[in-house]
Amino acid sequence: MKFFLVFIISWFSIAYANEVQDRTNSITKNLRCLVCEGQSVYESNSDFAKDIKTFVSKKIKEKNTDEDIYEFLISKYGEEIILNPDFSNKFIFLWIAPILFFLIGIFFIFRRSDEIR
Amino acid sequence: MYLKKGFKILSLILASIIIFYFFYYSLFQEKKFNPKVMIGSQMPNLQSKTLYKNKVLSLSNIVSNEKFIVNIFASWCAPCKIEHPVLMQLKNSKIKIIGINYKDNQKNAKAFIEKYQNPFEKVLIDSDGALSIQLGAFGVPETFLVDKNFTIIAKHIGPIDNNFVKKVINLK
Repeated sequence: MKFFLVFIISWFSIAYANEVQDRTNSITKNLRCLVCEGQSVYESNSDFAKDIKTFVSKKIKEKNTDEDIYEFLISKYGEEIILNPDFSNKFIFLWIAPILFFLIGIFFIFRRSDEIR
Repeated sequence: MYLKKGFKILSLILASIIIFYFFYYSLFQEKKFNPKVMIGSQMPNLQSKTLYKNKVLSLSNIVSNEKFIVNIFASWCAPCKIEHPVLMQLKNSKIKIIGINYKDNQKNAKAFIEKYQNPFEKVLIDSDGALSIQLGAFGVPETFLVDKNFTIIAKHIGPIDNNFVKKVINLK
């Protein structure tokens, strides 16, 4: 019975640790290491990145949602810390530009082919 | 026909100028980090154990209704040694400086302060970098000037100099 209890408790604590690690990894993959060149926090080994990793893991253990963590870090470091910015007014051009350029290109191709005909 | 051709060339030149401007602007824009994010925001009421008494204190326990400075330092940080005389100068101007000892060995931190003199009113221990993240810091040394309403007025990355001292002295 004792052995069984120890087994169950260990199993749950390992599962929980894995879940925290997975969430930490997924969040830090979407955070920019602000003192590195083109690396995410997840990829970097700088002090800054290590601090953020520890901090994110701590916040997850304190039952904060991903949004809470992102919001907190944005309030401290600005939108630059996010690698893939949300679809917000501020970044609307970033999201729309490729589609816009594609449509403009298509328009010119069709116009040109009409002219040739 | 000529007008149409001229219009096409003009549009092409205009588009090239716009694209060139975007690339040129992106190339020279310092986007790595924005140290101004925290300026104008409320100083978090940092809470941690102190270096000497090992007692948990918060910023509001140490300062009230006065301007003060928060300085992140570490004994292993070479630029911290450079700015130390400037911190002593500020201490002599009767300005409270709260030290945040960033990821340091406590014995080394005490030795550092003994060797270079103590400019700090109190030193809070930041063993895992959590206090620094609350301050939106990127590394050491970093210094924050806070007014009596707990609003961050200035943030300096790297060793502080006489310009920072002037800013502190001029703040009422």
